[in-house]
Amino acid sequence: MARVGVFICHCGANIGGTINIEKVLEAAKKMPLVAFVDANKYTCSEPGQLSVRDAIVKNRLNRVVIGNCSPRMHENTFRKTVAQAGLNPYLLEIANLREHCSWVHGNNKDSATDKAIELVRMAVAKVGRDEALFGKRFGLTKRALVIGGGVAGIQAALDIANAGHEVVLVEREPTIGGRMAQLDKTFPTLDCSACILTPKMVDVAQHPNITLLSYAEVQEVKGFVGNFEVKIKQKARYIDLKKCTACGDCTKECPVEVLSDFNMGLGKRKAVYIPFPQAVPNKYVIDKRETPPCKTACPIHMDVQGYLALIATGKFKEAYELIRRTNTLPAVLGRVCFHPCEQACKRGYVDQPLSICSLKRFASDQYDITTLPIPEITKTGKKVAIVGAGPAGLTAAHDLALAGHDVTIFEALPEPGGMVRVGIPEYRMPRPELKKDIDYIQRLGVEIRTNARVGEKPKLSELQKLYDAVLMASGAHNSLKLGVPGEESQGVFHGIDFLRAVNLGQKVEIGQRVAVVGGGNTAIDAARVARRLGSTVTIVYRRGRDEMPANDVEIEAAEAEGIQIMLLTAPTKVIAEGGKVKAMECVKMRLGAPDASGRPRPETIPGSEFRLEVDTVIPALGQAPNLSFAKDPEIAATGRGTVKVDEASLATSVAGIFACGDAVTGPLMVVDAMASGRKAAASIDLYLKGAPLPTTPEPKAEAKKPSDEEIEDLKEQHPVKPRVKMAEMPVDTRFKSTSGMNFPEVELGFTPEQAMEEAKRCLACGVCSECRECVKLCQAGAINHDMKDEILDYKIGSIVVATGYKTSDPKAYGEYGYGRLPDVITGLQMERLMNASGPTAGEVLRPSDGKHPHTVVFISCVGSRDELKGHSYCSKFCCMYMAKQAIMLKEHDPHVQCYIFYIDIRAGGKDFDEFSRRAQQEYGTLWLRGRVSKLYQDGDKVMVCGEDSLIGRPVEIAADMVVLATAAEANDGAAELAQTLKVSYDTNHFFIEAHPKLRPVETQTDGIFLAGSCVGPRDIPESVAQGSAAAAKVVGLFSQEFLTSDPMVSAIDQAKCSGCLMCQEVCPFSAIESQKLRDGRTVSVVNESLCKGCGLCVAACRFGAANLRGFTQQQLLAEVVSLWQ
Amino acid sequence: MAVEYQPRIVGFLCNWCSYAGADSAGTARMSYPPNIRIIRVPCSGRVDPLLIVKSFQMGADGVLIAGCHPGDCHYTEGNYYARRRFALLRPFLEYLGIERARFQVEWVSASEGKRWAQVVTSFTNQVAQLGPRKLLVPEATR
Amino acid sequence: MSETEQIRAKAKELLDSKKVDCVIGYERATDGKNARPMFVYNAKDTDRLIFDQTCRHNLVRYLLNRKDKVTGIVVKPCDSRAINLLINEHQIARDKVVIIGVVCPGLVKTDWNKTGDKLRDACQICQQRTPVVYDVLIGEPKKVEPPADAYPDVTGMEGKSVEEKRAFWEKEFSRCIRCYACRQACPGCYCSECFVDRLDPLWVGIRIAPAENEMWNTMRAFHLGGRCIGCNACEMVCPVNIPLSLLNRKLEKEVMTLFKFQAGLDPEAPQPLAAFLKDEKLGVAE
Repeated sequence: MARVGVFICHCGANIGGTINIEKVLEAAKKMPLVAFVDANKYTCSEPGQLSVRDAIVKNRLNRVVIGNCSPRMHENTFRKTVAQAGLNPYLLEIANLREHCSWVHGNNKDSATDKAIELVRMAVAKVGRDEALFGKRFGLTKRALVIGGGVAGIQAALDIANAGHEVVLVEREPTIGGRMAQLDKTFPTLDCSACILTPKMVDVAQHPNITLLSYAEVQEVKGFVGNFEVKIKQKARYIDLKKCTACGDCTKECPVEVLSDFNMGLGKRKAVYIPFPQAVPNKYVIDKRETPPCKTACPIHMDVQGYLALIATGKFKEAYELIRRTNTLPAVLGRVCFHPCEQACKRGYVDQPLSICSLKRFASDQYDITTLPIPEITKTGKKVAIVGAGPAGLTAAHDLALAGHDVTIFEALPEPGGMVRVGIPEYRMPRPELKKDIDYIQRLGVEIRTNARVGEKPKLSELQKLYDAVLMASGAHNSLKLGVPGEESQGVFHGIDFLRAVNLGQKVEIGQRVAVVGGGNTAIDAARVARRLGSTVTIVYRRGRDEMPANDVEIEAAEAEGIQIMLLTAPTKVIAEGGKVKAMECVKMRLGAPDASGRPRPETIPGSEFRLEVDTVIPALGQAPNLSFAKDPEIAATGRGTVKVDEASLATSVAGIFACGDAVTGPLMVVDAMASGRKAAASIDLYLKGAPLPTTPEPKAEAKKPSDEEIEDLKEQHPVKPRVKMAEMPVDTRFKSTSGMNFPEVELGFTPEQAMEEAKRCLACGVCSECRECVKLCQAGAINHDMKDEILDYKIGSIVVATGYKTSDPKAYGEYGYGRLPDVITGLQMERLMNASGPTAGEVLRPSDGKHPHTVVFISCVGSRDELKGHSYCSKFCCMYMAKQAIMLKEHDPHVQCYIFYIDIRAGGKDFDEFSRRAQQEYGTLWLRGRVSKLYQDGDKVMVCGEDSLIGRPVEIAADMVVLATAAEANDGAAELAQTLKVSYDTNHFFIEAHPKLRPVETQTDGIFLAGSCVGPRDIPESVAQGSAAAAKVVGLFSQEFLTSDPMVSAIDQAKCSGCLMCQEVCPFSAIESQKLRDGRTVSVVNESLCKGCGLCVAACRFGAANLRGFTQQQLLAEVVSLWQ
Repeated sequence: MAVEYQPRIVGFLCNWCSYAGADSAGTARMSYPPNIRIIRVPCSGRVDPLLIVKSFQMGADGVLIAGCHPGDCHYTEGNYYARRRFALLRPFLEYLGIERARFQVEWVSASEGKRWAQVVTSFTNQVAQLGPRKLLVPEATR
Repeated sequence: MSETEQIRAKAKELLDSKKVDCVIGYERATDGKNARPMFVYNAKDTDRLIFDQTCRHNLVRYLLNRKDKVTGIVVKPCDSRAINLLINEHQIARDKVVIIGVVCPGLVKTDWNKTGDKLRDACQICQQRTPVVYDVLIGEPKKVEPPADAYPDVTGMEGKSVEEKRAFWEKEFSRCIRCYACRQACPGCYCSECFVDRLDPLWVGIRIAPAENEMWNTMRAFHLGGRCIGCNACEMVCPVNIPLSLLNRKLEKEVMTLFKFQAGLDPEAPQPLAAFLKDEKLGVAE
C-alpha cells in the first residue's frame, strides 16, 4: 500500500508569499494515498531535508511529493534526500510550485493556490505510479576533449592533464592562444598578454598528456557521458608538422598576399604564413580556400591562379614551367583555347574576367622551349602505338613517354598537329609555335610517322600485333553534308576540306563571291581564310547572332575584316549552271520553341525564299569521325558513329586498344581532346603495368556561380579595372600573305608590362595559388600541396567547450563610418596596433597616413546594450579595455589626449574601479557620459559629434583616431556545435549553463562542461577560473571507476510486442534491436546502454509494449486523470 | 461584465526546451493566465495521441504541446515525429467536432521565457473565447 | 473461363503441386446468396470455391494465423493492399503467400438471404480495381478515371459546423455496443492486446458510455492512420452501422495531402508516422 508524504516548501516568500500553503496542505491531506503532509520554510536547506528524512522514517512513507521549485533545479537534491531515508530515489515527484506557479501568478493569489493544489494532486497521482528504478553500472574512458584553445581551454586542458588524464585539445585556428594572444597588455595589472599566455601555450605543446590538434574541428559527437565517440576533422595544413622548422623561407617567394586576420585586417600576410611569431604549434600553414573556379572549369585543371600570380610578380619562366605541369601544348592553348576558365572567372562578376588564355600565350612566348630540360625517364620497354597526331594523341604520347613507354604516332596527313594544324588557319595558330610544342614531345623520344594512314598502311591488326597497346586518337575529319540539291556541283567546298587544303598549302580555286554556311568556329575560320584569299564573303546562319556557337572575339574579328553575316537564313538549294555554282537559294527563318540542345528551333518562313548570287559555297556544319580503318579488328562504334568506349577507362571493345579525343566524343575543343588524351594515357599506363583499370568515371567538377552576397562583397573589395587589351594587327595589313597561302598572326600578344598589369587583376579566389614556389624553397621538404583533410576518431569520457567569442561588425552603425573612414578602428584592432608583434611593430600609427595620433576618441557599447541594432546584453570588458588602451596610448606618447564616450562605467572586479580612475586621474583621460551621434572626415581629422549628458551639452571633438568598443558575440558556428553536442543555446547563440548560479560550468547534458566566453562575455580572470572549474568537474568525473546509468530508459514488454519494428525506425540512437524468441516471434528489445530515454518508441508503439521508465504511460495518464478527480 | 470562461488546459512540455523555457518565464517573473496544467515529458515525440484524446475525453478545453525548435531537439529527431503525428491528429479532432483552436503545437526554446508567456496567454484567450466544449451528452452521464 | 473457374483451377494446381497446404477463398454461404470464407486443404474441395460481387470479406486477416505456412489466398484489390501493409509491418513474409489477385467488379449490398444489385457506396467511388500485388491475376486489369473529388463523403462531413459534427458523431458513437467486430475484421488490427482491452493503463473505461465509446472509436481509427487500406471490412461488419469508413477515409485523405502517402501500395515505403522530412511544412507550429 502506497503511503505518500507531501512536503510543501515556502521557499521563503517565493512560494509562501503568493500561495496559501495551509490551503494546499489541507487539500493534500484529502488526496488518495496521502499519509502525511508538512511544510518547510526552505525544504532544500539542511534542516528542511532532515525533516523530510525524519518524516519518511517516522510515518513509514514509501513515496514522496515535494512542492517547491523546478525539478530541473532540485530534483537530484531530493532524490539523494529520500535515498538517505532508505527509499529508492525514483519514488519522488516534484510539483513545480515556484517557476510554474507562484512566480508567474503573483498577481492572482487565489487561482495560484488553486493551481498549486492541482499541481500537487498531479504529482501525487504520478508518484502513486512510480516504480523503484535502478541504474546500471558502466565504465568510462578517462580522456577529455577540450574544444577551443583560448585561455579558458588552455587552462582546462592543463589542469586536467596535470591531474594525470589524457586530453585532446581541438583548436579551429592554426594556433592556440585565442583572443588573449591578440591582446597587448591586460587590465588591471598592465602586464603583457603574450608574456603571461605564451608560457601556458608552450606547456600545452610540451605536455605529455595533451594531444594538440590545431587547425581542426569537431565534426560529430556520439554516445554519452564517459563513452563519447568523437569525429574530428583535421584540416589539411599542407605543411608537415614534423618537418617544418618555422624558418619562414617558404614565405619569401609566395606571390599571394591577403589581409591578416590575426591582425584584424590591418596589414597583410602571405598565403603561406604563421599567425604570429610565438604561435603554438610553431609551424606554418598554407591558406587554401575553395579550388579556384578557373582551375575547376579547365578540362585539364591547370594551376591558373598559380601562373597568373607568377606572371604578376614577373616570374615568367616559373609561370611557364608551372603551365607545363599540366599542359603539354601551351603555345597552342595560349591561342586557340575556348577558355572555359574565363567564363568561370569570378572577376567576370565584378567587371571582366582575366585574359587567362592570352596570359598563357604570353608565358609561352617568353620561354625558349628548346632550353626546356628533358626529365629523367626510366624505360619500361613497353611499346604503344597512337593513331593520329592531334592534340589528344600528342598529349597521350607526352604522358606515356614520361611514364617510360616507347611511343610511335601514326599520322595520316603529311604534318603532325591534327585539326590544330589543318583545321585552324595560320593567322590564328602560327605553324612555328605549334611545331615548338610538338618538337619537345619528340625530344621526349616520341616517334611521329606522317603520311601513315592506319587501315591502309599499316593495318590496325598489325599495330595490335607489334605494340603492347594501341590508342585511337584519329579525331573527326569528315565534313557533314549540307543535304540540299546541287551540293555536288563544282564550287562547293566543305569547310574542313577547304581549310585542310589551304592549311597544307594546296592551291584552292574559289570564286569572287563566297557563301559560308554555318555559325561555328569552323565557319568563321573558313570565312576569314576565304576573305584572305581575296573573295567577298557572306556567312549564312539559320539562327540568331546570340545562338552562334563561335567565340564572340572571332565573330567580331570576322566582321572587322568586312565579312557579312546573314542571320536567320538557311540554304534550300545550290543552283548550278553547267555543273558550276551560280547561286544559292535561301529561305528566311524565325526562332521557335527551344529544341533538345536548349537553343530555339529555327522554323522556315514560307514564301520567303530568295536567291543569293555566289560562285562558291562552303558548308561548315561540323565534322564526324572516320572509323573506316577500325574494321579489323572490329572496334564497336556508337549510334553517333563515334568509338564506343568505357566511360571510366576509355577502353574500346577490344582489349589493349583504347580511344580518345574527337574520335570518341565527336568534334569538341582542343583542350577537351587533350584532357581525353591524358585520361587515356593514364589507363594505358595502368594496363601496361597489369594494374586494374578505373571502373567509375571521376565526377565532372562544375565551377559554381558565386552567390549574390559574395558578388556584392567582391564588388565592394575590388574596384572596377577592365582587362588589358591585346594589340592586334591592323585590318588592312592582315591579308598580305607571308608565304603562299599563309597569313600573319592577328593577335600580337601582351608586352611584359601589359601581362603583369593584367595578371594583377586576379582575385586569388583560392588564396594559395598553388604556384608551388614554396616547395622549391623549403629545405626541410615539409610542404605537400596534395595533403587531404583527415577524419580522426577518439573515444572521449568528458568534453569541455571553450569556443570563446568574436567581436561584432560595427558596419551596422553606419553613422560611425567604420570601413569608410580609415582612422575609425575597433578595440581589437587597436590592440594589434599597440602590440609589438602587430602590423606596426607596436608603434601606434593611423591607418590612413601612418602618423602618430594625438587625439583619440573611444566609443563604448557599439553593439552592446542596444536591442535595436545590436545585443541587449553588456559585453562586460569593454569599459576596462578602453581605460587600459587610454593609459597605454599615453604611455606610448605623452602628447596623446583620450576621450571616452560611455553609457555607464562597468568596473566591477578586483582593482577594476581603481584602474579606471587611474586612467582619469593619472592619465587625464576624459570620460564623457553620452552617445556619439555621428562621425565624419574633415581634412585629416575625424570629427566626433556627441553629447555629454551630464552637462547636457553637445560636444564636438576633432580626433586623429576613433576606437569603437564593439560587442562580444558568440563565435561563428557556436549554434551548430551546440546542436552537435545536444546542449542548449540562447538566442544570442551563447551556450546555456545547467544553472546560472549553482551549475555555471555544467550543461544539462552529463559529461559536457562549459568555460569562458562561449557562455557569455567573460574577462581573462573569469575565463581562467572557469577553465579550472570545468577541469575540476572533469577530474571529479574521472575519479570514478564506473558510472551509473540513468535508469529512466525504455523497456519493451515482449509479451505485448508484435514485432512491427516501428520503434526501431524512430529510435534516433539505434538503441532498439530485434530478438527472435523461442516461440518463433521476432520482437524488439532495448539496449539500455544506448537508450537516452526520449520515449519516441512509446508514442510509436500501438501495442502498448514500449514504455518509458519514469515517464510511463500509467504515470502520464494518472496525471491527466487526476485533473478531473 | 460577465465573468470570462475559465478553460481547463493541459500542456505537455518537453523537459529540455519548453519546460526550461517555462522555468525561465518564472525566473523572470513574467505573468500569464493560471489555467494551464503542465505535464513534463522528456520529448514532444514522447506524447502518445492517446494522452491527448484522453485529455479531451476527460473534459479538457484545450491541449498545448510544446517542444524544441526543429533542429534543436535534445534527441535530434523527436520533434520531427511529433510534428507529423500532431499534424495528422489536429484535423482529425476538428473533424470529430473539437475545434482546431483547442489543440496547438508550439516550439519554445529554453531561453524563450518571454515567448512561453506569450504562447500560454494567447492560447488561453483563444480557448476561453471558444467557451466550453460543445457536449450534447451532459458531462455527468458521459 | 469464368473467374470462379480460373480460381478453382489455380487453387487445384497449387494444392496438387503441394506449393501450398491451404488456399483461402470464398464459398457460397448457407443462405445460398451470400459468400463466406473457405479454407481449402484438399484439392477435391476446390470446386466449392466461388467468386462474385458478394465476396466481401478481407481474407488477408487470416494470414496472420498462418505466418509460417505457405498459403494461397484470393484477394480483391483493396485486400491486396493489406498484404503489402502486413509485409511492411513484418507480420507476414511475401514468400509465404501465393496471391490469387482478382480484378474487382465492386461489391453489391447484401443481407441475409438477399443480394441487392446496387454497388456498395464505397465500391462506387473505389479507384483500385486491379490488385497491387499478386502472383496470378484473374480478369483483365481495369484503369478507373479518378473522380474530381475522391472523398465526396469526407468533404461533405468537413463542410459541417463544429456543432453539427459533434451532434453527428455523438449520435453515431452513442450507438456503439463495443462488440469490437470492426477490430476483429480489420487486417491492420492485430495487437496482441488492444488498448481498449487494457486495464492498466485504463485508456477506455469499461462502462459503455458515449465518452468511452468516442475514445474507442477515435483511437481505433487513429491507430489505423496512414495504415488503413480501405477494404471497409470494419464498416461492413458493424452491427449498428456506424459509418466507420467516414473516419478511416478522413485520415486517409489527410495522410495523402500531408505526406503524399497511401497505405499498402509499396511494401518497402516507410510509414508516414515513422518518417519525416526536416523542413516540411505541415501547418503545425509555423
